[in-house]
Amino acid sequence: MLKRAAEIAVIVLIVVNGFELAFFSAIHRRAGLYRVGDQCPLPSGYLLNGRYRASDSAPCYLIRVYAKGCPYCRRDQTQYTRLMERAQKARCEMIAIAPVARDAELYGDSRVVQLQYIDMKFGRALNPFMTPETILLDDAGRVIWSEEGALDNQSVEQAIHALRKLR
Amino acid sequence: MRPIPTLLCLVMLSVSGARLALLGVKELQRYRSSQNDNSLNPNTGSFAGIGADGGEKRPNLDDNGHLLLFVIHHSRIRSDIDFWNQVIILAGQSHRQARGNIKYWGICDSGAECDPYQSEAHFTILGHLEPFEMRIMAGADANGDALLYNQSNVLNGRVAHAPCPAAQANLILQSAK
Repeated sequence: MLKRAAEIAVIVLIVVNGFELAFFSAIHRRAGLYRVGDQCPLPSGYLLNGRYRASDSAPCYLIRVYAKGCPYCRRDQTQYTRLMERAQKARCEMIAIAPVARDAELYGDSRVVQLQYIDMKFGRALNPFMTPETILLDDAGRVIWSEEGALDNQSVEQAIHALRKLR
Repeated sequence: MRPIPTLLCLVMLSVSGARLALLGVKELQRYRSSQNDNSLNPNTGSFAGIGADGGEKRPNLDDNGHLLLFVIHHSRIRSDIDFWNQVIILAGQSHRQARGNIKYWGICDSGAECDPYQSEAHFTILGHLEPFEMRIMAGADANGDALLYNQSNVLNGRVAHAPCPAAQANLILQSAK
């Protein structure tokens, strides 16, 4: 009798674990601010120097939402630099954007397009209430990977994997 | 079934079940907060943008001044401009001081495509804003709201869309009190 009860308990727990895992996976896919496959307009807008920059065609786009005073944006500089190098090899256009102009910091890096003012279509796609955010888009502006918060080695590996899949 | 492996199995499955339940609850909370408009709409704004002339605009509000931000839609730009022009006139007639104290910014939903219509509008048309405020405006537009800020950049109120300019003007003046 006890043996039978134990067998049933094991089966029930396996089923419950399976459901919980499925629920977690489903909600995890939806919880992020950006979902893989979400469509984003190709980045365009006014640069920090006041000039207008139209969207440019590129095989991919690396968008970084950052703020000058954000400690997490400094903490993951090593990882971000590594990702930038890989994105550059993939000929991605690299865009940096601060939620408000007073939080912008001139990078002095000619590889990075620093946007200051954006239009509503692009503004609707961004959620600039958290810094840093790092987003990878494909050539059509679809999200292929994103990370909210500081990057770590694992997230950079995932981003690089997403870049490799573009080829 | 042997008793010890079965017990061990039960304990491990129970622990992993509890752990997964905890992760599921946390993820659900994260999901709900990302879906909640209020959590994504801070109550202070940032006001700088690019006007129809391509120059940078800032509202420079007086003491007790207000800034009303609303979206104008390129697909129906003439009716939007007519509507808001009437609202501004009616708000000014209803409250003599209000017109001077409230600045009106119409944010174009299509970037610079609304710029050619600036001469027809009694308000300032902007096609580009800082990302922070643009996201807030996009959220407000989804609900059909306009946003009224005071001179300290604090959100005074969300002004719901009214079917006629007179009602819209009244709603704005009520929020600006």
